[in-house]
Amino acid sequence: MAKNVLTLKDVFLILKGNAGPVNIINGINLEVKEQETLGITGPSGSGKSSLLMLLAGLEKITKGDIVSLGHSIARMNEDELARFRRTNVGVVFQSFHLIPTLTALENVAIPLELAGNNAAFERAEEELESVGLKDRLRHYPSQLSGGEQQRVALARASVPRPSLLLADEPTGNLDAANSEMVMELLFNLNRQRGTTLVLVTHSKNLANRCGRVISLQDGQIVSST
Amino acid sequence: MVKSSPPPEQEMNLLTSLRIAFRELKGRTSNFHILIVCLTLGVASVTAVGLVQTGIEQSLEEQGATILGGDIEMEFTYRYANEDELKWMTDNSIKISEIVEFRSMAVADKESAVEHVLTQIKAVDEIYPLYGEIILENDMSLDEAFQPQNDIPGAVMHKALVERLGLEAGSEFKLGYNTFRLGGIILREPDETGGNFSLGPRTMVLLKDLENSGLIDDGTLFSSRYRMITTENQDMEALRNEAEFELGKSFSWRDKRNGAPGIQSIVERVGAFLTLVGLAGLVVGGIGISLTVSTYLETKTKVIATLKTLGADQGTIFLIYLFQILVLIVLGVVLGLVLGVLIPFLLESILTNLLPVPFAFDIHFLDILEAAFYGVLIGLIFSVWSLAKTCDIKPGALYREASINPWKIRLVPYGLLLVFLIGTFIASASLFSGIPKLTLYISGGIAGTLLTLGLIAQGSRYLSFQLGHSKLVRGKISLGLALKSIGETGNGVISLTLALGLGLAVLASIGQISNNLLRNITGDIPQVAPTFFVIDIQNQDIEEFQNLVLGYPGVSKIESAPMLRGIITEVNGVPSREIAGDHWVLEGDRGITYANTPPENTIITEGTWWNEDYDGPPLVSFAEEEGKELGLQLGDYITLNILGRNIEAQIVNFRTVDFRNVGLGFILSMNPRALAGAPHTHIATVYADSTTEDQLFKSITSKYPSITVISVSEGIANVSRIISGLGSAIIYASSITLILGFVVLLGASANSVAARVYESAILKVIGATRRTLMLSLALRSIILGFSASCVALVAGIAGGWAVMKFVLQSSFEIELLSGLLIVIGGAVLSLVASLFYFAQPLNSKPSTILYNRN
Repeated sequence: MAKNVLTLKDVFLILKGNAGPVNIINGINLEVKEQETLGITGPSGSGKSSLLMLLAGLEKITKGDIVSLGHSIARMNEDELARFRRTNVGVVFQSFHLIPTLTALENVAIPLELAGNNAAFERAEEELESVGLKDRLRHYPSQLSGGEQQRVALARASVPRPSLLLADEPTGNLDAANSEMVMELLFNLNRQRGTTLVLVTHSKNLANRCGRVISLQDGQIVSST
Repeated sequence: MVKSSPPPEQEMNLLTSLRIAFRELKGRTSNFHILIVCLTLGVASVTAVGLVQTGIEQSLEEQGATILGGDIEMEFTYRYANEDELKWMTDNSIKISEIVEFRSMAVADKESAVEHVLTQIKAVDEIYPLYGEIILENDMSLDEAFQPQNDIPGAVMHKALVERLGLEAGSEFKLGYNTFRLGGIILREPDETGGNFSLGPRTMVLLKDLENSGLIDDGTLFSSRYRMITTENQDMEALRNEAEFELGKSFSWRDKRNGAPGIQSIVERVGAFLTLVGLAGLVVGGIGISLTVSTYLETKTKVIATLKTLGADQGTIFLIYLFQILVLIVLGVVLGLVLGVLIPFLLESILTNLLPVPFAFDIHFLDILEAAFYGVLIGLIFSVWSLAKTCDIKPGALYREASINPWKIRLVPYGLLLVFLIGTFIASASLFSGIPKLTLYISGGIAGTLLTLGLIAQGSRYLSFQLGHSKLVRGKISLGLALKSIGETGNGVISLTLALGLGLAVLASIGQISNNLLRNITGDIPQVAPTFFVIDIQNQDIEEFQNLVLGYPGVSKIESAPMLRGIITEVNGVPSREIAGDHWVLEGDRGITYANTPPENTIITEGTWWNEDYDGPPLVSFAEEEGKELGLQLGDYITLNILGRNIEAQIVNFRTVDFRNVGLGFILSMNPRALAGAPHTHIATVYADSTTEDQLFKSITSKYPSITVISVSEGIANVSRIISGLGSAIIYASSITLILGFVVLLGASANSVAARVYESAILKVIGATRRTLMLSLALRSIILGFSASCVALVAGIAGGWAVMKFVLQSSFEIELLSGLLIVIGGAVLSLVASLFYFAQPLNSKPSTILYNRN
């Protein structure tokens, strides 16, 4: 039986707003199995991206617990979370969030450098080659198209060979052709490397390719298919 | 149908720009704290310095006659005025008052011990003071204080002297052979500012009471001053010319037009320098202005692109933001003016007591206008470049990250406008300061420092970029990130380097100045200086005096020389002032000695000494350095006025005179026959060890009541107090520049850190710990700090040299240790500032930062 990569137990996220506390996530319970592909959908403001941030340890939960790859990330401090993500979790954003002062190769090599990998640049080069950007190694983000930037971001997320890859609207800023290319790359990671994939998306096309899809409304799971 | 033509383009631009500018600026002044603080502090310092300086100058001018003690003062060295001179004075004045000044020892014979303290005696007549009022403790009048009791005349003293002698009201003390009674304590003399530099606190007595004291005999070192009240509207210059024509130039002349020329010159020099320091502060603040404006305009890129999309032309865009910046500049300038007026207003009573010169607060609009003018100019100079960049923003910036070359500017009209503004600033600073040469040096120094810092910043960026992307730093994540962030485009690094570098340069300059001052005062002197100067040794006493001194085993050396004083009036028949202007050797009377043979250790650099039995026309040996400065040559003739008699002597040799060892150093030494018959005394320097010092002092002063013994250590302490005071004024005034530098540094650090926050959020997502990020930022600050520090050290040394040479007119040596320490301290401060700003975003959730970025 496949192991759980993620286990969420009665997770709440309540943020303080000017008009008082706002419940973003309201008691979510969820399990994600090894090598699973999970799509998270829902209307704007339903808490999809916030949930993904919680899974990545980029937001602190208010209540409950999240166990990721056997570790309770709710109990980790910021630096422990950073070290945990370094080798276990990859994150891809809708807005790419590449470091503008670094070349594509340097952007991809950074997580490996952080992990003290001596072959960081060789592996980064291979990873960029695998996403079809062999000719763009020395280019800066501003010199790349949106699709290319997202592929660099994907290579950066996948280069440490994480067990879990989280993507927030990875095709949200891309045209159809580029969206297709990025989707293909994402699902290849799942197929070829067994990476567990959790995607937040508005795209039905992308959601339909996931093994399971949950839908959020007001911070709660309202359906699971 | 023909449509009416549109209004002129410029008018449309102006009105539209104004409307949009104010609409957009409404309520957003919080973005401009740094700009407003920089301008406020800079303008306030220039205003305050200007108002204080004008207040002092105006007071000196208004109280010229009071400060001088009369409408005119004629001073004679070592003698009283002769009959002709007295007649001329009587004919040309309504009232004459005579005073005599000299140094002597006040002696208090108490039961426990005999106290001898150096004092500056002012012997006055019954009608002193002609102007103003002397204020004594307990509202006593001078007449009352001078009244004899039991035939012992009264005297008044400064409190410091009374305390040192341990006297009480009515106590007796001696001046020379005469006994006096302490009649009162001086609180303020009306003419004290105009007086000469004094080595001891004042004792004032009636001139007639000094008869038979042995203190004002022939050849003793005293000066007589005749103060006169003239008829109203008397032409002082004509009167002076007439006196010089009729009496010859055997006196020093001062009149109410400038009651205290020495003080006036110091006030002008220090005031002008402090104004320049204020302007340097404004320039440092200018970097903060530039930083604020460029940061603000960067946030407006999309708005500008939108406005351009909607049809706004470049001129309109430039004017919109120029108006906005102008509003802020005016706000900063007005706040600065208010603060600058309030400072001297609130501190008037403190300044009046603190300053050795009269000061009255008044609002002088010219000073305020000048400060406002500088403020607006600096505001514009440091904004134009960034404002001009708005023209290069394309509408495409709406959908694409636009990069603008920060170094490129449109020469016409913006480049020319900038050159015009900078030229106006330097020209007006040169004109208003009254010391154009130093202004140009300082302007050149600042410009050079800024340029060098700019080049260093560019160089650092280039090198960091190359190194950061090279294989050398692979695996060294923090160093790599630090180098890459320095190497990135944008002007964050430039601003930081400029602010840090210029601030540190000022700091390093101050370090150089204070250490050089300290070294000059205390450094070389104690090793070679004599213990005492002894003056007024009568001819008949000199041999016995030498024997007495040498009888003490702790005395290692005694040097003595005959001494007269005289004024150099002519060189080769031409009035000396026409030859060498205001050279210090020509400014007043100088010590003159005579000798048959060159004194021991004399180094003759040119010419030869006269024969021991020489009996011809007067010959003179001149100090080499001063002789060169005056343009004198062997064979030249100089005319000396000694005790009212003109002596023409030929220069036959030049010799080295080193004043630094505080020994006996005479600019002029003559053959003995030339001065035969002239009454004179001897001066001596005594070198004794500390165990003998007290005993020797008491022995000399007890045996020779008319001899004056000056302790060198006390003299040095007096001089050091004056120089330190001057140095402190410079340091206090410079502190505003330092504060401004720090404000700008904080702004630059905040700005620079802001760019790192987003990068750090991404790095956290992919696994960077806070330690890695902190280390990267620290390395970045250290690299930037180091490069800026190196330039600052060089600029600081150059600045220190300029101030020591041109303002304090003192020697300069590089103080590397202090420079390095200050610079390292400053670099650490910049590091702390960066880390301080980084602490909060470092602990922020990356998701928040990334969301906000979206």
